[in-house]
Amino acid sequence: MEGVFRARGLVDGLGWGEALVSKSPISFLEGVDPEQGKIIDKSHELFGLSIDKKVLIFPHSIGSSVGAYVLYKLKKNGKAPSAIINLRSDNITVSGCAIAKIPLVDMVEGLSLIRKGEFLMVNGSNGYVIIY
Amino acid sequence: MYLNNDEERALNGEYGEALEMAYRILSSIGRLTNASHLIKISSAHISGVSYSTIGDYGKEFLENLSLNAKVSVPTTVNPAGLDYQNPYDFNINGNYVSEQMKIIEAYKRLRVINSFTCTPYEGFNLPPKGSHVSWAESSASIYANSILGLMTNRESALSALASAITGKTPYSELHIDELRKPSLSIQIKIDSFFGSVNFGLLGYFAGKIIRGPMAFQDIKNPSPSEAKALCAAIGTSGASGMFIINGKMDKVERIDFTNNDLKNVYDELNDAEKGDAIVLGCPHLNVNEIHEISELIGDRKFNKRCLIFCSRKAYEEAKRKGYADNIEKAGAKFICNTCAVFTPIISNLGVDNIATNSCKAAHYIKRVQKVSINLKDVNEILAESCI
Repeated sequence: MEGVFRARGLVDGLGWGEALVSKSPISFLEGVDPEQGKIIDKSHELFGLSIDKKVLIFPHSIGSSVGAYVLYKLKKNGKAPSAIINLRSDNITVSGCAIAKIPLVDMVEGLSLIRKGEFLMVNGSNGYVIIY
Repeated sequence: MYLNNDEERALNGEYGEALEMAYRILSSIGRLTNASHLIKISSAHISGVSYSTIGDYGKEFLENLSLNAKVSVPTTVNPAGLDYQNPYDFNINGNYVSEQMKIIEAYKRLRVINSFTCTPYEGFNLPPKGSHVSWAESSASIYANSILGLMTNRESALSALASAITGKTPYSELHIDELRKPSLSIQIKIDSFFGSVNFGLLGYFAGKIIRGPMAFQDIKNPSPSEAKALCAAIGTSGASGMFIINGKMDKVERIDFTNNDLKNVYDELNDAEKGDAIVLGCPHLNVNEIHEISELIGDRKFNKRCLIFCSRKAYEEAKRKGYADNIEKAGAKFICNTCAVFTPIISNLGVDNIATNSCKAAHYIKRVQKVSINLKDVNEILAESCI
């Protein structure tokens, strides 16, 4: 699958990497280890996988608003996703990406066409996603 | 979202890292909420002070930010996880104390007002009616919109902090008159409906079913204490940011709130027959509420531990007026500038159940501290605990 898809740009910047796709929401506080950049919630479909330098795709965040600071910590540790795509974003993800400078978009046309492992470019400033 | 030249420059880092960060937060939240532009605010209130809520990651973020940033409008802050003038009370461990102190120092560097309360509108932060503000702490932002006639969205710790630094907030949602109209009205079908517990139960019920502005009909005007309980409970169970009481309703959907609904919410929050300790002050008590407690106690004594949470300012005023002395003589303890929920104090008490009049405290203490709750109005609690 190749193409350019329009999106709503929420946090400025350009990020690229392999797509890592989750159909379930993520709680950054309880579900992600900011030291390793891995999903540590055993009940989560991405359990054990690294989000480091990936384009992380999930519906929205759940759980504690402290999750925003976990995104900041991931970035400080050099273990953050290179960009995030949400179905419909939320305060926690937006403010976390804003302080961590992680490009963020949501409401992507054709989001369901994106498969795990595809190489993506996310433009949070102008609001689009390119699949290579 | 439109940014003027100056705001663009700040976003591009021309005025330093802190303003760049603050404008990144505001422009991103602005896009999320479909704001057209930023507007000036007259005050901010910041949450995210207790080490129990923001932890090490939040602490590190604030320590970095506060090295070269200051707030630009009057800004109050939420309670901490302990009373920083008496940090070692209740056997709080040394690491917790030192990390909490670092957070408090960071906020002091940001030049916030020394409020450390969830009720900043009682003696600290009260702009004129109609002012746009940026308040976090759900109970306070709902109170601001619904009781004080201020205009604020339900801000997060980070968005309120960004607004405090820039003096601006996205023009969206509850800042816009047309978006402050209730979409659903709740008719109270209960005779003699009064007291903090009843108003809290109503708020807990309503918050779960309505995301936007709501209306309450056929209800008495709440006293300040009842209004605080109502706001805190709405903030606890849902996302709504305001309500109106007995207003003129156009065609909006109506639902009833009956004795049966009241009982169901009560059964959800109340899971103990009695409390082995008493927690009052969620939200923080004001001087009038402390006075009322003193009057109810009279010259009796507590037969169990009673903790009362308030700002230091309220405590000192109650001290000057003699109310605090009477309550302390009865055996209760005041804990200033500390949150009744997000603190190690409650779990360090070593009790299995707690009596409180707060639905917000009931919800969080059960989940965070794993302690059972007996929910009762303050006069009933004191009637059975003072001899």
